[in-house]
Amino acid sequence: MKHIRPLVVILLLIALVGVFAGCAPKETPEEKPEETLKVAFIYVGPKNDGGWSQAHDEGRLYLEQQLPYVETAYTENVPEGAPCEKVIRDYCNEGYKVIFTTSFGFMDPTLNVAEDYPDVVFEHCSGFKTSENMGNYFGRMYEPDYLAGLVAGMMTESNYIGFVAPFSIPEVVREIDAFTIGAKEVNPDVEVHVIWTNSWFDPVLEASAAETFLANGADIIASGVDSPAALQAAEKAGKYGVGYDMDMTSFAPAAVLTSRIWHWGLYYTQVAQEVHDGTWTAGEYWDGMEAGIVDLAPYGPMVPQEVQDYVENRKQMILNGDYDPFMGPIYDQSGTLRVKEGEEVSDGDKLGIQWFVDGVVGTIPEGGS
Amino acid sequence: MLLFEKRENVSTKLKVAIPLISVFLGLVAGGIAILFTRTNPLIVYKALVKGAFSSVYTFSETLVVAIPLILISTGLIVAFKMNFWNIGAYGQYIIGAIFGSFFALSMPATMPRPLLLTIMCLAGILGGALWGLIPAALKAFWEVNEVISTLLLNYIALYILKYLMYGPWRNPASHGFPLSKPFELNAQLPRLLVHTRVHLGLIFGIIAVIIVYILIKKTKFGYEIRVIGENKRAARYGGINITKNIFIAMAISGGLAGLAGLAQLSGVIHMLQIEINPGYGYTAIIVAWLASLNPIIAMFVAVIFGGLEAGGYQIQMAIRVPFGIVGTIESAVLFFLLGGEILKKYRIRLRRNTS
Amino acid sequence: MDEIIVKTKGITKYFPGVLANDHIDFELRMGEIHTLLGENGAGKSTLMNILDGIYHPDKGEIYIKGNKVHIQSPFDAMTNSIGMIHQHFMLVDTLTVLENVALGLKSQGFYIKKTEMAKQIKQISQKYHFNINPYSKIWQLSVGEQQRVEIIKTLFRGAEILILDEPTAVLTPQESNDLFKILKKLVKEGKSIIFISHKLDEVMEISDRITVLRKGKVVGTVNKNDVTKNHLAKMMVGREVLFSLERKPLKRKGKVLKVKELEAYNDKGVKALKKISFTVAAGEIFGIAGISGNGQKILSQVITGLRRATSGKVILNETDITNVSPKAITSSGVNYIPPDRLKVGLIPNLNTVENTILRSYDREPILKRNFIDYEKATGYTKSLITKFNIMVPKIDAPVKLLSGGNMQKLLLAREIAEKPKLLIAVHPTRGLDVGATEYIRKQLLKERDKGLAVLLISEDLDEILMLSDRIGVIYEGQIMEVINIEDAERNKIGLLMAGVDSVRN
Repeated sequence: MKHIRPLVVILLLIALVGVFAGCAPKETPEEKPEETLKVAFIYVGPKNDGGWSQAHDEGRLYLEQQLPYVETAYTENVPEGAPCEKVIRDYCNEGYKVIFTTSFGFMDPTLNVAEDYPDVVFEHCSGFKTSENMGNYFGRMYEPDYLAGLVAGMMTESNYIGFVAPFSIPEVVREIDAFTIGAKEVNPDVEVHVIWTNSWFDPVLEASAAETFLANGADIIASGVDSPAALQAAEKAGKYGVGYDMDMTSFAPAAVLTSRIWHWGLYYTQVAQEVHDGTWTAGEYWDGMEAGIVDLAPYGPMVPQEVQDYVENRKQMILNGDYDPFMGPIYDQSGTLRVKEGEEVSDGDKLGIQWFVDGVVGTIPEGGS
Repeated sequence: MLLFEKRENVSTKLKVAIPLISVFLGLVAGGIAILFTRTNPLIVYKALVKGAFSSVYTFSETLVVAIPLILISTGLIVAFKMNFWNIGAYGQYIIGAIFGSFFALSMPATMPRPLLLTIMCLAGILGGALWGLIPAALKAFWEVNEVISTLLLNYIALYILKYLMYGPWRNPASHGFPLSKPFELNAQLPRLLVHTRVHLGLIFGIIAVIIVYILIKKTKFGYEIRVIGENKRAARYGGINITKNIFIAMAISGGLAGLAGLAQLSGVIHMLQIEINPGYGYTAIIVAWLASLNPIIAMFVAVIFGGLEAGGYQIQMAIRVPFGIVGTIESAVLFFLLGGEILKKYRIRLRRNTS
Repeated sequence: MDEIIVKTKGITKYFPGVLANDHIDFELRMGEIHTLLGENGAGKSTLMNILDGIYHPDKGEIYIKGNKVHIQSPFDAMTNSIGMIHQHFMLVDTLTVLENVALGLKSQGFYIKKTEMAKQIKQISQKYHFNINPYSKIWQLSVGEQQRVEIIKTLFRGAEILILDEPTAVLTPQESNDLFKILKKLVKEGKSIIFISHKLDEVMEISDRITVLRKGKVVGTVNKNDVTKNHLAKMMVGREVLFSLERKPLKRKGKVLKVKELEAYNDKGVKALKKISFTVAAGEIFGIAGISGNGQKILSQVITGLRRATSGKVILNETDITNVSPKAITSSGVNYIPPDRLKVGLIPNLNTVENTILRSYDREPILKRNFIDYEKATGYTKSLITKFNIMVPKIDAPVKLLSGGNMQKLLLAREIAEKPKLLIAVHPTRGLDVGATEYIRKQLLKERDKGLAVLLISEDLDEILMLSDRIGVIYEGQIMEVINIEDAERNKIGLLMAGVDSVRN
């Protein structure tokens, strides 16, 4: 011990000095220009997940670019459950005026904090609760889903498409339904098989789900999850894939037929602008391709021109308001006619949809009482 | 060259000094990693300390994380003391939360709050205890290794929770999302401090620490589990009923984990959902070990871990460092703490190599 | 023969509070068996661990073949041709002999050249009559065979100097004899051996020279032929030692224990006790003699309730205690000194107090309403420590830090303090030094004189003959014959132990 003691003392001294230096209240007076609007983003995954969170982060960067008076911050990898409320609260305490919470599970914590900070604007993505100062926002991703379904339906040879899906919540069920409606429209024999990963972001599980599909004869893998892992698995097997969240071509260039993508930046800019102008009110934002918030990414080189033409034609119809994927007749998995010819699924029913259309192979875990 | 020599016994001074030095070295190593992101480590650590301990509010958030860690690790200590490797606090936490939620969701909102909360806490304890008794029974009657059984039961618990959330307990008003109905006020644990999320669970934790401490140090049960933990054959020779003690220890261990799960729901989340942070069940294993299986020390270690988590988010916010940095710091500290264990076992001496 | 192969000069080693080695000068000649003799704690193992590189001396020098060396690790020791065989084997139970030998072998690459090595092991095995199959798994081997594997390991690594740390402590008399033959063969082949022991008989049998240590210092180095057993004992202990104990005349009273046609199986499911019957009376010591593994351990376990009897009866003072829980048996007056104090009798990491109350923690006055009164427990422990003259430096330190003798004294004190009607003592002095052995034996006799019934199970025939009033010889789970001490004859018992039945008349 004799040799160690001086060392111990020195180390402890350094440690103490370090701690005190760390605690010293030397708030650097970084006065910002008065107009600065501080905007915070909370992500459920890493900001470079190649999918969902990255799409939001690109929206954040877009916002910074568009509005010079905006200053942004973000926290990534925030678990749903107890910790996220703290993170949201911290941003409020730090003087942030607009807070975007970008995962479904952040809904109730956002609501809780919103109650305590009436001066802060909260925007929650993909949920259904709102309050005086908390709005929610989402996009009609089912439109690009439908278009991607058209592409996949025409491109498949085995008529077996695998859909890697996260949770059996309406948002995802809607995506699968729209995708299948598209695929069925151009290819009545097609089957869309579903595997639930029960996670937004789990690259390992996503890849193994894709491999399961491929082993069973799938030649196209559609992803509804937050990472490109499933598409990379498809590329490795020499098959095709349909990306989600952002253009995934760079992750699997040989496989990606197209991707259904988000342009969150447009909405973020709109909200920040409104808050800045004092015109913001809490609402439920749910726009589609016509607003630009959702879109279909450029096609891969393997997609033939006639396929592109067909899809572009449909896209134009949707943009003109002449067509909606959820127009009747729609049959469900059991062959029952759910939506009659000439009828259309209402927004309310779309938001809560819990049944699969004809052509989907898979089940939704039993609904609640 | 460096020589490693076995130590016969460890002095108290070393027992205190080694972890402190280890933590410090861990911070230095973490600091080097931070340097790679072109950030001053001192600023990062400042943000960490600030985010965890600088104000009533930040400290309260540290405590919010510490509450489940205290409850679970205290329970784990009971099992670990008798060499029963309960890796299943994760599952016991979930089942406790489910049991407690049952009453929160099915009792009328008019029920007196103290009554409902008492029922819920007892149900949480019961749920965790029952889940803990399964591996105890498997071990006692069929010699099934508890590491494996407790670990696998974690997955079963998680799938039970998922089943309930996608099935019978899903709130019809949640648009199909896997959430239960929110808990009414009478099912929410009271907050200890306004404008914070610190709830009554903290008091439960402190009481649990005191009880377990006395249980281990002073009672017949404590003596018996220590004997079993140190030497099972001697216990059998001394006529100690090992099976009975496994059951009691696992009931306590699981019960406290179950109470932690219930407290997290009733005190913080206020509804049942899929993500209820059962991962604390694993963190608590580390807490228990770093505390050398002493519940009082574990309480403080839990607060430090709570600070690490709470402050970790602050780092991201204050300084734009990648999230991985927080994990890197935590791992570096852990790595050096484990390395410090070697120092407890061996004496290291420096010698000029003359041979 | 006279060439010095190992020499230490002024080796000094401190441990906290202890001077374990105090300027030790020691010489090993090439081709000799040199015994390091001393009581437990005399510093023998410390010195050898220094030679093996496990400890490093605070002062002093080591010379191998005249060259000064610094041995930093067991690996260094190996390169200096020193190989140590520890009391506790360093073998992996689930691997084969071959794999154990290959472990840590420097010349081995990633793959083990199995056939080549097996051939070499067989060669060594044949040369020294080891009789070891390289493909046996360690757990299949007897203790003696495992020890031989350890020797093979060191020879394989090119050891010229072998250190054996109390090798016979774990062996039966027969296995010891086999080992001695091997050691003599090794010396003949040019190896040099340091043999650590405190058993005078075997020291006299095997050694060429003897260095006696006491309290960390060298008392002297002598040629075996120049000394007697008594002389060595005096050097070692520092006073005269008694090799026979005074026994008061037998005052046998009523029968305390009756064992009737008892049968039981061992862990492997083989019948280990075959219709064993005998009785033990108050005031007598009934000795069970036999070679290790003939059912002694099973017998003690069945009587104490740690193992089930499949048929037969155990009766204590007219009460049937067959297959009753260990706790009930203990509380009805049976106490037990198990064969392995650290594995069964004591809890090594708990302190003296906690070990002392293992029998009495669950009743008044130590237990009060489910709480243990540690103050009372400490008082109780102190009274036993004083009464039985146990050396406990710190009452709240782990009991594993006590010397073997003091551990055994503590164990004995604890069991006797329960005032049993029957005391079962299995190998009560195994591994103990002369002083402690003498003490334990005297205590057993003292309790016998007070009227205790003692069942003594020992593989040490001298001990049996020294203490018993009657002797039952056990062979393959059967009592061959019960002999009164007056009629006991060493030869006859030896034959009975070997299963030769036809010596009557």
